[in-house]
Amino acid sequence: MSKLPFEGIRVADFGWVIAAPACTLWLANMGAEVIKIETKAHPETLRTINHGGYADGVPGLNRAGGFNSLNYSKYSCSLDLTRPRARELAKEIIKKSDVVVEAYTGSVAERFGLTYPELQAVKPDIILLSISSLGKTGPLWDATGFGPANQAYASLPSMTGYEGSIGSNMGGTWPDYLVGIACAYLAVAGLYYRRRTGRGLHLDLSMVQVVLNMIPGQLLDYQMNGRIAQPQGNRDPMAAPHGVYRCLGDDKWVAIAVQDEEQWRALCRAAGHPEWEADDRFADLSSRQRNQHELDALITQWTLVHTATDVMEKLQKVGVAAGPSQNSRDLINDPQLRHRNQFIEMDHPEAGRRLTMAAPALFSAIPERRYFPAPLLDQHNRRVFGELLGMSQQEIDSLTEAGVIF
Amino acid sequence: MAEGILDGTRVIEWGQMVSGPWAARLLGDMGADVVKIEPPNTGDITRRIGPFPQDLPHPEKSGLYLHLNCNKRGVTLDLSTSTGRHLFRKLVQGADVLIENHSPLHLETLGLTYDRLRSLNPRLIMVSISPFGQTGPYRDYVGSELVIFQMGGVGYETPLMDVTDPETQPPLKGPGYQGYFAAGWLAATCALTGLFHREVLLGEGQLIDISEQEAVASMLRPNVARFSYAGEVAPRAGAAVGGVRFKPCKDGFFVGLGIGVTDDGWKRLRNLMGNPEWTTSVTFATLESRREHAEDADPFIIAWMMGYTKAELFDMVQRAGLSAFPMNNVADVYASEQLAFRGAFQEVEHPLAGAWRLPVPPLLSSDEQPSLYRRAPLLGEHNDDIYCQELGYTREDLVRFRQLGVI
Repeated sequence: MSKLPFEGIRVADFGWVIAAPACTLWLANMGAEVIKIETKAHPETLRTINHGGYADGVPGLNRAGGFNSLNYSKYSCSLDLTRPRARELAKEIIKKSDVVVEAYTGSVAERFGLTYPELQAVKPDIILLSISSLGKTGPLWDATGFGPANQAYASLPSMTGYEGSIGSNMGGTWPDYLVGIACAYLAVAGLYYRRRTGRGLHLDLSMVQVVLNMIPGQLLDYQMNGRIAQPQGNRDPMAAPHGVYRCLGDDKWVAIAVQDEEQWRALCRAAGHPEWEADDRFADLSSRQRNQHELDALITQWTLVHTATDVMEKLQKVGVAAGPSQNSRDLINDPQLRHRNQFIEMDHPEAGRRLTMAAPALFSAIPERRYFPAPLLDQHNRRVFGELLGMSQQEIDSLTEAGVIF
Repeated sequence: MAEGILDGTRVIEWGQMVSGPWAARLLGDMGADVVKIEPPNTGDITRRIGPFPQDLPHPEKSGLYLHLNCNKRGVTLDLSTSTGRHLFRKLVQGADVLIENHSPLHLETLGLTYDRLRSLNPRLIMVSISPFGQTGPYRDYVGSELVIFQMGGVGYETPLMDVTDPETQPPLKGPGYQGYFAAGWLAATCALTGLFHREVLLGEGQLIDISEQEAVASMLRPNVARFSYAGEVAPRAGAAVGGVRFKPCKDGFFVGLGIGVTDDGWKRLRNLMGNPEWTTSVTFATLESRREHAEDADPFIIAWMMGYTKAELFDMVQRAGLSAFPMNNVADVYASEQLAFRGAFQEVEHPLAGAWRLPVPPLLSSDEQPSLYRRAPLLGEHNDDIYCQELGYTREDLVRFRQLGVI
């Protein structure tokens, strides 16, 4: 098998919940040795909540689908960082690492000794990636926030939802997983920088600022025209019809986006309603936008008696963007995602054989990425403290007994 | 700091709309020399989307374009002409990375597939972004932000709140181009991974095939897990529980205050509210039970919240170590002291569009250099720079290219 890009790179991963683990998952799948530093004193949140189900419905620190599907291909050791000796051991791990990822609030990171000056003293060319809601500087340097809170601060929900509603979050705890990819972009950039200059780097990422970069139109519309973005349902200024329409079946829907006049005529014919083409109410984009409710009602009459796949195929055949709104079962059965090997099965020692989302994107020189099941909590204590740090079994045992390795 | 990371790296962006241009901008943010190729006359489609100052459309004044194309130079080139393709191949010969987001069929028709380009430049990292990918049954399907977002599954459970009647309330898109941005971030991460791979191991480039649908779907790990682990399909209605709901306070809405939190969080919240009688109910004793009965507690929590403004509440909850935030709108964002302190917006002056405050790349830069160091290019602004000074064509050649409609 060809070598993976990050083989030989070690990552000390103090992150938890979603963004940081999503970042280190990218590095792990690409060959890095990612060591999660966890603790039984305060187990990683995703091990303890029902975010992705528990194996066969039975809760347990090693049975959570949300955790296991985000932390595979990584190792786990345990250290209670509230203990001074544990913080020393963490520094020993960092000394042998290339990248450190942490997602604590500012004051906790300080208490645990995970600041850049402290890490540089231990390992001068270390790359430290700090992930937080609002960054590690400024009056709110110590704010604690999770995905929905970050979205809200960045104003994303104020412009999401049905027209006239107060606003809503998006699905999939958006943008947490995406922030993880943004973090991976920074971590890889850090590695590349160190490779070229020999110097380390502190990268201080604010999740809210990631979101701001994804709503430029709304931000600039406020500056340019004083407009405060509101929830707009599925409306789009450049397309009509543009919506998600009810189909045959239980809670089945199809998304349709008509992006020009040619596509509009193609839709009319594919739907078996050439008379819509001649209808004045739908003559051009602005007419169709003015009469969107009537248009939506007509289209729904057509989609309602067809399956979503059927509508997709009919419209795609004539060059109109369309596809089903997919729930998780649909997703797993999606022929395109399956063609791209986006789902893999792994045997987890406690959770059993389970299906997991693989790493996205296909690399021609990387036929296979690194996959092994998510670690049990502290599964690799011997590997980390014994093999990596060279501690004796006796030492490990006594520190375990003392609650340092815990 | 950040600007120097990709110094000396040449990126050619043959992009349009959001995903390709955003990926290229992320590399430009790190100091790569990005050359954006646009079709002559019309330019990138985002030039027509806006928003525009005073709502007056103008191809050089689109807010979306101005944001997506900072930190790049721009040339025009018509790839449907053979001279255009010849110039394109010359540009690719000298590039480290090519980012493009045209349809796979279009690439084939033009003869600009990875196999052809690799023979010109084996060190080339080609990042191809398409709605569904370069191969597979949906390869030639047409995409759009709405369609890839729904087919990627995040759309199915958007909006997270407010779905009370799934029969009549459709799944929604996110604001603007969330799916396209996701694909752009992923593409930039892939490009950097490819550069690192080339540097340390391979010595040569590769093709990186990105599907926008897959970029969105890859965010839905927990839903796939839930299906495999517990046999459950994540529902559309009632997906938002407890603290994730927006609740009113004196002057707006707030998120994160609810009882469906960990034992520790519940203790902090009770203390903050002054341990009122209702919180002692056995119904709220365990996490599972709190989750189940989250809505029963909402009226009590809201009654308490209504006594405070967003700002007061934010101060109180952050002091208490609770994870709860105000629901801001775009005006609040620009007024945030924290974001101002971080320099989250940088005023970028443009000769035709004026000066606007754009969000900077999301990391703190310790460098003196502004992170948006180059405004978005005018259409074809750098034709001279690139074609004459770099590729060695004469001014006369350029005139001829213009006459032929190549640039």
